Amino acid sequence: MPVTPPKWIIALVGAIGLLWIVPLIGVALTSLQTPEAIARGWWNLGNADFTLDAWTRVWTEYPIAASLWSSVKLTAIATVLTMLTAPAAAYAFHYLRFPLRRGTLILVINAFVLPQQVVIIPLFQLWRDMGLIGNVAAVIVPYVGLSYAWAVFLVKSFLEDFPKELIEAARIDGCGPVGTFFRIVLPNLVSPISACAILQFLWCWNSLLLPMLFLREDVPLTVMLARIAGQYDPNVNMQSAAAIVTAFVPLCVFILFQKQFAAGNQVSGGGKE
Amino acid sequence: MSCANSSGGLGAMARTAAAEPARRRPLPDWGAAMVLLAPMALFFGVSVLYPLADTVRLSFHELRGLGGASWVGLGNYAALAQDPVFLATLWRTLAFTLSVTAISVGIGWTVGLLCAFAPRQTAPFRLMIFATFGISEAVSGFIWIGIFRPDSSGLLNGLLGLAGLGELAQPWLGSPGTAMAALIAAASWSAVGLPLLLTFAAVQTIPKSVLEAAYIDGAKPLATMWHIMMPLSLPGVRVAVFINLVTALRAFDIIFVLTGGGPARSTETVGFFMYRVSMTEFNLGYGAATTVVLLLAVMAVSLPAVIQRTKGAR
Amino acid sequence: MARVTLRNISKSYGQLEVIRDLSLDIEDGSFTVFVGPSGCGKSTLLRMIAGLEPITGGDLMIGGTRANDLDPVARGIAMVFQNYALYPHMTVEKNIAFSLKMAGYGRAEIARRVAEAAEVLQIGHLLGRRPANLSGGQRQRVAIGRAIVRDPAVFLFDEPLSNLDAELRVSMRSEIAQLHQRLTNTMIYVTHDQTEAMTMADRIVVLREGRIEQTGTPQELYEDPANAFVAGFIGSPRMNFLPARASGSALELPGGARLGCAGDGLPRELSLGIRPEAARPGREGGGLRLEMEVALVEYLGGTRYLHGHLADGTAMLIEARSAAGIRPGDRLPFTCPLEALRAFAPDGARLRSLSLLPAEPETA
Ligand SMILES: Nc1ncnc2c1ncn2[C@@H]1O[C@H](COP(=O)(O)OP(=O)(O)OP(=O)(O)O)[C@@H](O)[C@H]1O
Ligand SMILES: [Mg+2]
Repeated sequence: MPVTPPKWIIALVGAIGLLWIVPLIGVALTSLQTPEAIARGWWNLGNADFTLDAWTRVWTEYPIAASLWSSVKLTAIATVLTMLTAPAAAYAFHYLRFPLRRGTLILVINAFVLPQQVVIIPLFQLWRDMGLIGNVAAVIVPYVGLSYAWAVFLVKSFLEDFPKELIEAARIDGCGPVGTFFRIVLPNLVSPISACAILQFLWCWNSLLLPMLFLREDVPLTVMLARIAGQYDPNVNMQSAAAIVTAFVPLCVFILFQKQFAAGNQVSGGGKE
Repeated sequence: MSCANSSGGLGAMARTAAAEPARRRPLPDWGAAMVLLAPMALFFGVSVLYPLADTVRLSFHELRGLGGASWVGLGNYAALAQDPVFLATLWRTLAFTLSVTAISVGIGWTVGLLCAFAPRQTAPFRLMIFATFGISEAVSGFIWIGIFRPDSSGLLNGLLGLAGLGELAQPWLGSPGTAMAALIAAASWSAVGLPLLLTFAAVQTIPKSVLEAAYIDGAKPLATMWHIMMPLSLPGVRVAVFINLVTALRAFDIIFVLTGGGPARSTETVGFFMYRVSMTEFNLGYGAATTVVLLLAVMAVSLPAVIQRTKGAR
Repeated sequence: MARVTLRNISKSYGQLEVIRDLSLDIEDGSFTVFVGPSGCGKSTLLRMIAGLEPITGGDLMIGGTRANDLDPVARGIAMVFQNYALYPHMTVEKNIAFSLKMAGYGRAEIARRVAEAAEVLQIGHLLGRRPANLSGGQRQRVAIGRAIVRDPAVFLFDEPLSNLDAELRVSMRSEIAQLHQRLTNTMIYVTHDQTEAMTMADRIVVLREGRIEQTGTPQELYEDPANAFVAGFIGSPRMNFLPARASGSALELPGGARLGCAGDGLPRELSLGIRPEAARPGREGGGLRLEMEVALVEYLGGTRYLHGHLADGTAMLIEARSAAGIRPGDRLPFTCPLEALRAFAPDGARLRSLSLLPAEPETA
């Protein structure tokens, strides 16, 4: 390892990094110019025509506020449900002895092979028959159900290094298996649960297919963006502003919690979607 | 502790204390397991087990829209095997999946190794590449529309014009010959983050002394990369290859937003074909059979991971 | 307060039998130490008494009732773990109170008991802290506090001192012994350290490969070991074993030393055990006379350990309190009184029928 890193490495990586954010700079600049200026090319900064017009109008032209609220609602509920139920399941699989334990565990942790496409036909019919199309539950249930494959796996991997003596001490202290989960194990699962939460948050927020099919009016940001991107609309600047709004929250979460994200992905190995 | 000289006696204290309150017997293991697994069982049953079984069941039926299902046995699969559109889709899926994985892992791996020589100085650039991974496929698709716009407001055509190659400018997303390439470029752009991250994490765990030994042995950076870092980063890269293969194989969102499968179905992969057949043409039985094919493909790619997880399940 | 009785207890993990047919009576209020080499089944035995491992066969009686299928709490036991097993997310106070809370005691009663346990262990000032902010010795006290607060019938300790440094280990040793004198509960203590066993126990149970080798007071085990294994395990430094050959009424020892002997059914080959502290450098004193070549002198202040070997190469270690000036390479004569010698058959069994006599005159 050279003491001072070779300059060419920094230059090369820097060039690739800058190349990679060109599309991002593109949307940002597009959202700040008039449609006429954009037609000349957003990179033509010489005769650019900057305006915050798109950013002031986008909120009224598109149902951004409602979609943002919908994204927050769907993502938050699904994330919290995964955070609560996956650790309980992982604990039961790891510490309790019951019939069919190993078979069930193998089934759950290998469910990562399921593409989302598998659920859409049966659930579409099921929700239609139950009158749940358009209901948030129609999206939240598969969001949570599809998360177990990696979430249970991730928490269970963590439990493999969890000191067994704590469980035994709780038993000696007269604490039953359910109490041991809530009082002893759960408070010490902060790191795997936060890794789960971040993965689940990003996945739910960024999902398109399920909410597009199972929701009608209150669609999340991704679906709204897909709808307006598909229309012929000269207001590219406003579309870009909407795209930035859609990407903003997950991007911040992602950058802030890179570490947990990396650890989660490394462990769950199978990843998701 | 000096027990001997402090007064009283804990034993005496405890024995005079109130009698132990009556206590409930704790649940047996299986009872506790039922309580703790019930919520998961509900969600998992409804959104994994039932759909899986029902998709397989439907794939043996002819079912259109709201009509009744009629048993056709392997009819849907036989039809798929003779459907030239589907067969073309299969090949296209293969090409798309392999290209995206090769490009994204190739770039991510190389950059990840290079970054190991200057972890601090390259940190901001790493973040730039990595950040694209936090952007949803839907947004990525939208962003890349802007690059490939047919008139001179698209970046690619604009740059060609500036370079004096204006005659090469074309509607990239509008012609079957170039739309797939455009799709691959966009998908690779957002897929580079993970291999970069995992490669970099893997090389960070190589003991510094190993790299210093190589340096003292006279290895130049490229030689160190090739002989030491590449093999030692393989475990992380393997995970990235696997995840990227599976992600590309199931791709839907980015195709839906960027090209909508067009023009002339030239960018439809199996994951999108399934959607079109079942959700826009409401040919549900046929769509279910397509889904089973997709599932089998994902399972084949995932086989090593499945074996590893199954063995490790204790 | 309870007597613990193990009757024909056995334990198997699948095919592997780690405890076989073990019977043992632990008296009410005694301090019993299980000692033995690593892997001999001490922890397994203790955990079966605790209710953490199912018992494969036999009966476990605690306080007169069969406890095989009882929960740990119903058995009335408390346990101190080797690595303390303190709940990391709870303060010291909550850790100690946890079992009382589980048992459904009222808040005032819990507070009173925690305060008393804290006073006994002098950890009152630590009650608000988390385990991560305690030293090893403090964690150990908290772990003991967690056990005593319930006033259990039986205390179980699994190598509680092995994570402490040497000095702390010695002081905690005596504190636990004092605690026992004061609380008078039954205590069962597992260790692989024979010094701990000797200094703390009322009764020692020596285990090997899942069987009891001998049970007795420290003094009984030291002075009257049932076999060569116990003789070698108890006592530090270890007992020396010399090969001896019986021919008629004489016993031939390395270097031409001889002893007279009497007894029936003696094997031809046997071994004689000499504790290092029983040997006396010099030619004075009767009994067995031997000579060793000194290879190493370990000076420990009050005493010295002399390492070396006999004429035939048998390794020998003796303790010398007042033999200044001995150097490696010296040939050192030493004697050992006959009553300090222990004889063992080749299979390790003690030869109690053998009586040793002073050597007969050279002529004979
Ligand atoms: N869960 C288990 N499965 C299989 N074998 C086990 C298990 N637990 C213990 N054993 C075996 O049982 C034997 C006794 O183990 P135990 O832990 O009681 O030894 P120990 O005397 O406490 O040793 P140490 O001093 O090292 O703690 C060992 O041979 C061990 O390998
Ligand atoms: Mg042990």
